[in-house]
Order: sequence, then structure tokens, then C-alpha cells
Amino acid sequence: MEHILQGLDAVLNFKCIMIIAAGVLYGIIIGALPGLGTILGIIILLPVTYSMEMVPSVALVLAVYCSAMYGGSIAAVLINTPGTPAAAATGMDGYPMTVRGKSDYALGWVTLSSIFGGLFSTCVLLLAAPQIASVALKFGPVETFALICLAMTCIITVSQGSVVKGISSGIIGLFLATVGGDPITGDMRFDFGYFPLTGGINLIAVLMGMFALSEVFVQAAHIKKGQDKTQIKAKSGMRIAPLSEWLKRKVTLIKAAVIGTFIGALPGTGSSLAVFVSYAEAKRAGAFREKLGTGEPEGLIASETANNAVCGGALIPTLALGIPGDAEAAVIMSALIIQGVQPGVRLLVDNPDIIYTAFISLAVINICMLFIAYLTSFAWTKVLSVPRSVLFSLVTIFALVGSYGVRGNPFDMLVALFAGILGFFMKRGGYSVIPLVIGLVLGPMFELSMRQSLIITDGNFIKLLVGHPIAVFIFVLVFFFLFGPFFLAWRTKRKDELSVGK
Amino acid sequence: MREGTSNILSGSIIILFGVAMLLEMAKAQYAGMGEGLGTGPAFFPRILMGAFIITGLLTILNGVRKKGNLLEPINKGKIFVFILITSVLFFSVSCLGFLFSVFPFLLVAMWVMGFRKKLLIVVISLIFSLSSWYLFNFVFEIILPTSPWFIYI
Repeated sequence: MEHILQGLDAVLNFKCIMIIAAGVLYGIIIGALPGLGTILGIIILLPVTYSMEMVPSVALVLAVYCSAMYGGSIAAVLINTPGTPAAAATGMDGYPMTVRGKSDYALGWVTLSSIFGGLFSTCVLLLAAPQIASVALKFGPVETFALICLAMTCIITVSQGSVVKGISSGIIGLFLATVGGDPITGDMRFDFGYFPLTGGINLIAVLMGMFALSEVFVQAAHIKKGQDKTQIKAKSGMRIAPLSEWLKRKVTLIKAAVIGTFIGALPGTGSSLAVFVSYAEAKRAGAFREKLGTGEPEGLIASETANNAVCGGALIPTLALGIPGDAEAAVIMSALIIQGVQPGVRLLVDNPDIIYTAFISLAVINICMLFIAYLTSFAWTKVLSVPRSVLFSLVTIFALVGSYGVRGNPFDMLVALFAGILGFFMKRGGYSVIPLVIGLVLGPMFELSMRQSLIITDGNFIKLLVGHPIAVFIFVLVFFFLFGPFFLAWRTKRKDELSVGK
Repeated sequence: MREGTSNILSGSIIILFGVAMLLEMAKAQYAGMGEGLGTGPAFFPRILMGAFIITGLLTILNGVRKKGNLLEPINKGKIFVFILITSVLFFSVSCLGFLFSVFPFLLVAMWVMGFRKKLLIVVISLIFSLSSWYLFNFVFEIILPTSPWFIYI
């Protein structure tokens, strides 16, 4: 309690709150602009933190981290151009809502879900950071493999129309993830002697192509003769749905927050895994599971709450163990080291006030985000008042810059172009592009953890299950996720037949 | 084209791709990979290739069994032209630079997409290409591709 009060004292002052507000605004803009992303946003700001005191600099970096996560969803919702892989899931329900003229509500759901996720993970951190850190350490390759299998079930649940086509799409994604250096031996695979392929297929470039460019091509394909004056029915600003609507989806909200916090705490996982596990769970057990993927707010809750809960969760291994969970956490860790703070097991014992100050900052950042998101939403939704023909021409440029900006590699622009053409034909043939993205996002982790698990257990699948009770529990969940819906459908059908017979 | 024909076509492409990649993996380059590891670099891709062939076959089977409805009609001319100009943009940006590729692309793209206000097209193209070039190059310091004639443009 004493440390929490110290943290409150350090953060709740005018200077710190202003720095947090500036960081949040900057982070939202960075996140919403395709191709920049959280890491670049923090790196650009790092030199600014050199001359600052420890608390404001940590607060600034965390503000950019959390708000860029949120900002990535704005572009996904409004123009179907996710700024981050995790925001891809947000676009699945957010963009259909925008097309239906409910962009204001979509932004409301996204904002409040993000803030709830962020505040939930902060509360958990304040109460149980050391305990979660000790559980997280029990997750080895086998448990991580089981967890990724759980996220992979999402491929089947998000396959609209044909499950076989969804699986095909997912396999294409997994295949694309294998291009380039092998994760264990470094041997080159599927480079066909072409040098740019040795660096692998850039995920952001594929995202830009599959979502933004393919959508532009779909729009072009549906233009009728004559002048185009159509606009997406824009609603200005942000609107919050009534409390009753939130209460109908409360279970998904809480589950997503728990999933995000816990997966965030696992080193080497990241927000994408959390988002897809949460989405799969919402698709399995959500109150509106049948409507997910068609513009249902429950999908936004599942993805956004988990996405922002990861921010808090990821700080547990970063600060308490000195293990950065993902690339963003690694950049945050370097910002702390610049300030003379050495994250690790001793930090919790020697300087708990630093950890609690960071946690309190997170809470303040999330509250700040609500106000700034509300004020900036009017500007964002103005984008939609631009005629469709102009908007989608500009989206093409965003896709171009977005794919190029991450690595500064012209090859990535070509990847985006081919992904866009492939995405267009996939959509035309009834193949969902979302499983492909899931496969590509989770593919490297999936292959690495599977092969590590098999190496640890000498290729023995029984050994793999026997010595790892956590993994067994997760595999049981995977089985339930995969076959549960079929069993329930069969049982309902049988009940109906019996009642008709009677 | 009917859905069934589309399924047969896409299933065949998937199988062909799977077989082509299996043949690629039969090359000497993959033979000695990961020796002594048990599960080498070729282990996971081989599983994927098998899965490609199975799902491709299932898709073809589905197409043969069910002819389905006609696919939704599209404006083939527009989509061809738009893909063409986008391809020209993505290929030309590395040789002509960002500004010299994006400005003409926007002029043509807005016209192709059906926007007919000529003056506005020129103004939007100019403002958007200049502002995005300035923002990325000088504010975010992401150096966009340049032309062979100027240092920054």
C-alpha cells in the first residue's frame, strides 16, 4: 500500500499528467497511421526522454505504448487498414460496422473496451504481479505450443462459409511464415535463389495488401458506370452504447481482459496471440457468437480488451523478471535502462516504488486515453466524409507507405501488391483472408514451439503430454474448442428429432 | 462463373502449389538440413504441403458435388485498370521516387474510381502527395524512395 501511495504521489501532478496526455495523443496518431507502429513511435521519442526525470520519462514511454495499441484499431475500424497485426481482428467487426454507418458506435466500443482492458490489467498488476510472474515462468515451449494451438482454433471459427476454405487460407498463411531463415538452424527455405526472400515475408506488408489493397480492389470492381458520389455513411465522433448492451456482453469483456493480462505476462507471446485466443473464445461461447465477423460489438470487445490488457501484462516479465515479452516490451526495457533502472528479479525487492509508479502511470494513461480518444474521434471520423473514390485512392498510398515504412525495403511494397491481388481473388472465390493473417502471425511461434517441444521430448508425443499438466489442460481446451460446437449441434438436432417423434 | 467451377479452379491451384513446393523440397538444398535434430527445417513445411493437397482435393470434391450459384458480377474493366495502375505505382516508386509516382497515380486513380471533379482531383493529389512526403520524410524520418534526379524528392 505504501508503494502504491508513493506511486500516486509521483504520477498525480500537473507536469506528469501533461506529459502523459501528450504521449497519449502522439501514440494515438502514430498507431492510427499505417506503417509506423508502436516500436517506431517509442524509438522516435527515446531521445526526448534522455533529459527527463525517471517518472515522467517512464510515463511517456508507457503512454505511447498503450495508446499506439489503441490507435492501431482506429484505422482498422474506419478504413480497414490495421496498423498492427493485433488490430486485424478488430477490423473484422469494426469495418463492417463502419460500412453500415455505425462508425461512431464502433469507436465507442473499441475505446471503452481498450480502456477496460488496460485498467483491468493494471489492477491485476498492482495486486498480484509477483504471483503471475512465478506462474509465467512455468510456461516452457510445450505450454506455449499448446497455447498457440488454442489460438489456431480461431482459424476454424472465423472461417465464414466453408471451413475447408478457411483451413486452406490458414495453411497459406502458415506457409508464408516459413519463407526465409529457419527459426532454429537458420537454413534458408523457399527463397528460390532470390535474395529479398531470405529476409522472410513481412507481416505488415501482407496486412496492408490483404486488408487495405484487396478492399480497394473490391471497391473498384463494384463501381458502376457514371460519376461516383457515394460516401460511407459517416457518423461524427464517438458514441457509447447503452449500459444494457455492455451488460449483455460482460462475460466476453471479463474473459478477454483475463486472457490478455495472462498471455501478456508470458514471455515471447505478444498481443496477437492474446487477441486471437480471446476472439476464438468469444466465437465459441459469446452471447452473440453467430454474428461475430459481421459487425458485432462482441468481436470488438474480445479483440480490443485483450489487446490493451496485454500492455499491463507484458510489464510483468519485463519489470519483475527482466524478460521482455515482445519487441515493444524490449524497447520499453531499453528506455528504463537509459534512465538507470535495471529491470529484473531484484527490482521488485530493491525498488518496488519504481514498479508501482509504472503501474499507477498505466492507470492514469488509460483514463487520459478516454478523454483524448473522445476529442480526437471527431477528427478521425471526418475521414469518412471524403467520397469513397477519393478515400480508397488515398488508402492505396497508405498501403504503399505502410508496407515500405517498417523496413524501408522496396520488396515489401511488392509483397503488399501481390497480397492485395491474392486477397481480392480469395475474397472472390469465397476464401476468408483472416485465417491467412492468423496463420502468418502465429506461424513462426507455432513452428518454433512445436519443434522445440519435440526436441525436448525426443520426438515422443506421449512424453510431450505426460510431463506437462498445464499443456494437457490447454490441449483439452483445444479439443473442446474444435469439437464442442459439432457435439452441441448434434445434441440439439437429436433433441429436436426426439421432440418431433414424441 | 459458377461457385462450383470456382471451387474446382481454386482447389486445383492449391494442389498444384502444394505439389510444386513438395518438388522444391526434394531438391538437394533441403536434403541435409537439420541433420541430427529429428525435426529439421523441412519437417513443418512437409506437413503443410500434405495439408495443401488434402484441402485442395476437398475443395475440388465440393465443387464437383455442388454447382452453386453464379458469382456476383463485377466491373472487370475497372478492376483490371485499377490493378494495372496500382502495379505501375508499386513498381515505379523505387525508380521514380515517391512524389513522382504518387502524384500521377492519384490523378488517374481518382478518375478511374469515378470521381469527376477535375480541379479537385489535381488539388487533392498535390496536397496529399506533398504532405505525406513531408510528414514521413521529415517528421517521422522514414526516408521514402527518391528519384535519381533529386536528393530528397
